[in-house]
Formats: sequence, structure tokens, C-alpha cells
Amino acid sequence: MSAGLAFALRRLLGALTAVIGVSLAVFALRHAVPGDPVDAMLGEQATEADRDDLRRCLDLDKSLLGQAGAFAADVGSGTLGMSCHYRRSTVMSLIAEVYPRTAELAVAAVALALVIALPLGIIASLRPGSWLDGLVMGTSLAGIAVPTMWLGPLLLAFFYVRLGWLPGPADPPSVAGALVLPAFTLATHLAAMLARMTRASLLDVANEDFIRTARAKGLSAVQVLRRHALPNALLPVVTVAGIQLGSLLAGAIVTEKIFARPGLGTLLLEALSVRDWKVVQGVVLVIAVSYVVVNLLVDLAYAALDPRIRVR
Amino acid sequence: MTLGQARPATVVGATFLLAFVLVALLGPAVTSSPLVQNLDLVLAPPGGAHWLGTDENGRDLLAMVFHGARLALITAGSTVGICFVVGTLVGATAGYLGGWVDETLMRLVDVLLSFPGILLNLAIVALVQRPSVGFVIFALAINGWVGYARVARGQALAVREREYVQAARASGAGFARILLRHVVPSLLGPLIVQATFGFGGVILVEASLSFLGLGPAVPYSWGSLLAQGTSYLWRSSRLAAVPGAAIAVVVLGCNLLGDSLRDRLDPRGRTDR
Repeated sequence: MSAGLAFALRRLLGALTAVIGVSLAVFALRHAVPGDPVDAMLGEQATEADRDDLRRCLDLDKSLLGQAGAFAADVGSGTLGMSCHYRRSTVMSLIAEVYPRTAELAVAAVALALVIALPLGIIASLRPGSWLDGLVMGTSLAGIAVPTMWLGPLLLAFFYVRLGWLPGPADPPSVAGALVLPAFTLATHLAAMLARMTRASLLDVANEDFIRTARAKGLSAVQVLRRHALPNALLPVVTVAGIQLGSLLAGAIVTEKIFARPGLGTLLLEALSVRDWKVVQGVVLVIAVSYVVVNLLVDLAYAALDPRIRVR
Repeated sequence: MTLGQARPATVVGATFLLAFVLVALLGPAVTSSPLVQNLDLVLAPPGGAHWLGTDENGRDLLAMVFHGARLALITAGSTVGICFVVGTLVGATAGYLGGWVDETLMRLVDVLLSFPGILLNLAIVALVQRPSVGFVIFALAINGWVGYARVARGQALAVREREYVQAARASGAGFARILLRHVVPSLLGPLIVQATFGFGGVILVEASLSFLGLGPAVPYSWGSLLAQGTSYLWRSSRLAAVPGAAIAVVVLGCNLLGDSLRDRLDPRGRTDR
């Protein structure tokens, strides 16, 4: 078996273990804490018939093993079960409805973060210690420290309420420009991190022998940067950006709440507030699987681009 | 190094964190209760008896932010403390013993890392109607220790073959003694760096949970102040600006101090090369 195939199989096995681990954790979560979810969903005044009905819907009439079996069957059938709050909807259909909204937000945020971070990181690395470097590093520190749930409302207050330049929570998410403020809010933290990484990575590469060789053979500074330094320095940066795509699916929860955007986060919070456990389980599982799949793809792409990884 | 030689970033970071700790310890004693409502004085501007003004229920904003600081210190301090101890012991044990112990513990770490952390925190706090502060700390610590474990394991792997550890083993010292007296002390530098960044991280995650309405059941946690302030943004940006700035200052302080500590304590991760 080639080293590449072995690497891919090992990573795939790791991803599978993670998904199974997450499924078990998600199932165990519901049983980890005492208390009757039926009480939480229906309140004290509910009729006995309604309570029995809900108990059946949540599989609470079954033994623990039976519940695990029902959960496995729900996952296996691809429906993830029926929602107990939005009756007549499968959990998967609820998720499928909003998944594209969260995915477009996460992809836009990562793209925006790269567009902001790469030029800033490169500029800062060209003259380490200069005022420009200080400015970039200072701004990026602020970007890391600013809480998303503060930045979002501030941007809204300014660009939506005061200036009226961009759409806000009252507009439908399909309207042009609706993605700008949420994507920027979600991207800031990542952009700040990536700008610092780009700078550090470029400064690291600058000390490598192949850069000295490139300079010694008479290439201009621009050629050295473009042909030799950037391809090597940016690989880890782009990898981190890819991995962050998975985290942003979860990180979007706060942003979606601020901008009242439909999405996985909004669905999760709604389901949590009515204790619709099957939807909660489903959303958590789908986010976790997306995260694992994104990481797997990034790992494989990285190994394909940089053969040094496979032997490690 | 004297204070005069410290980098400006270090001084600023340390000052921010020191101010935060002082406010958290002393602030609640010098302000009134954050829960006293005065409906005659709703959304009052700063001045007079209320230095930062009042909120939509006529509560003193300064008192709320100060009590929120104490809550943040308790939550983040406890979470980081628990994660530090658990992560160090797990990581050092795995790295020092190696073999199947290492394999098992690190598989657990991998599973926890293969999952967006905040999702797990969120799912756990949502299990109870109104989580107590202790429960929130539990939810944050459940996956918070893995970062420390990874750092500790990597370091322990490196020191277990050192002469002084071998000498201790040869002189008949037991596992616990070697681990606590010889291995762990040599790991502390990178772990303190990790804890400094981690403190800011916990502050942010806890504020996110509170912002989503899933944090401790008190109205003055910084995240819930921010959430309330956001809904009054159209009338006054002050209610959101103050707790937001408080969070940003603490997190910035942690990052500044963490950067300088890393340069001093953990030569592998220097940022100023």
C-alpha cells in the first residue's frame, strides 16, 4: 500500500471514530442530567394524553437500549427522526432547509478573512518592527480580543440603523448584501488570527536555505516572495483557514442570533428553548459531522500538496 | 527583568488584567446592589449617583459591570484552574508512561477535539433550565482541559529521557513522586502560557453562552448585559458598549500578556522572530 493511501485510510478511520464518538456523546447527553424533558416541553398543566404522546415521540416509553436503537435507526434512515415540536417534519428536512444559509455564511467569512489577512500579514512581514508592522499587529490583537456579540451590534447600529447602507435583521436573508455584515462579523476574529499567522510563517520561511539560494541566484525581492516564500508560507495559513470553516459552522450561532438570520444556530437555539431534543441531537450531529468531514478534506488536501506531511 | 525593561505590550497587558482582578475583588464592595431597580430613573445618562448611568430597569450599570467582573473572575478562574490541573496530570501521565495509557488518553483528547468546543459547552448548559455558576464551570471544563493535556504530553515526552528523571527512577522514586516532583515542574512554563490565553478564551465562551441566554442565571453576567444592551441599541449604545469593552479589555490583556510570557517561558513559540 502506498504511503499516501495509508495516510488517507488512517485519517478516514480517525474521522469515523470521531463521528461515532460524537454520536454516542450526543445520545448520552440527554441522559446525563436528571429531569423529565416532557415537563420542560409541556409544562405542568398538560393533559396526560399529551404527555404520553410526547413521551412516545421522544422514545421515552422505550428502555435505554430501545432508545439507543431508535436513535441509531433515525440516523441510519437519514431522517434523524421526527421533530416533536414541529410535528410532521423530519429533523433532516428542518436542517436541510437552513443548512445552506449557515454554509454560505461560513464560506463567505473564511473567504473574507483570507482576503483581509493575507495582504496585511505579507505587508507586516516585509518590514518587521516598522510602524506598519506595529499597526497591523496591533489591529489584529484588537480583532482577536473584540467579542463577536459586541462587534455585530456595533456594525448594525452604524451601517444599518444610522447610515442605512446595508440590510439588517428586518430584511430577508436573500436580499443583496444581506451577507455582508454577518460575514464581516464572523470573519474578524479569524482574519486577525490569520494575519498574525501569515506574518509569522513568512518570517520563518525567510530564514530557510532555499530562500537564500533564490536570492543568491539573483532573483528580485518580488520574485523571491512570489515564487518561493509565499507558496511555502501560505500553505499552513490556508490549512488553518480550512479547518476553521468547520468551527465557523458552530461559531455562526452567535452571529445568526445577532442578525436574526435563519441557520443551524438559530434552529438549535429554537429547539433548545422548547426542549425539542431530537432536533438538538440532529443539529449537533450534523455540525459535528460537517466539522469532521471538512477537517478530513483539509488534511488530505494538505498531504497532497505537501509530501513532507505523510511521513510524519 | 525590572519593570523598566519590560515591553510596553507586557505592561499594558498586565495592567489590564490587574485592573480586572482589582475591580472583581473590590468593585462589588464599593457599589450598590446590581439588582436594585429604580423605575423613576430608567436609561438615565451617566452622571451624579450613577457614573455609567442606568439600564432599562433603572439599575446602576457600574454596579452591574463590577458584579459581572467578579462573576467572570470566578467562572474563568475556576475553569482555568480545573483545566490546568486535570490537563497537566492527564498529559504528563500519558507522555511519561507512553504505551497503551498514552494511546487511550490521547484518543479521548482526539474525540473531544474533533468537535467544535462551544457546541459541546452549549449542549451541556442547555440540559438544565437555569444553570448555576458551578454547572457552567463544569460545562466549560469538560473539554477545556484537552489543550493543557496536549501541551503537557508533548513536554513530558521530551523530559522523560532526561538524566535527572532517569536518576530519580534509578534511585527508586515512585511514579507519583517522579511525576509531581520531576516531570510536572519542568512543564509549567508552556502551561502557564496556555493558561494565560485560556483565561481570555473562557471569558469569551462564557460571555457567548450568557449572550445566547444559556449562561448563569444572573442578570449581570457580562454576556447577558451585552444581550440586554443590544436590544436597546437603537436608544442608547452605552448599555452594550460598556460590557463589550470590559470583555475586550480582559481578552486583550490576556493576549498581550500571553504573547510576552510565551517569548520568555516557551522559546518554541516565539512570535517576534
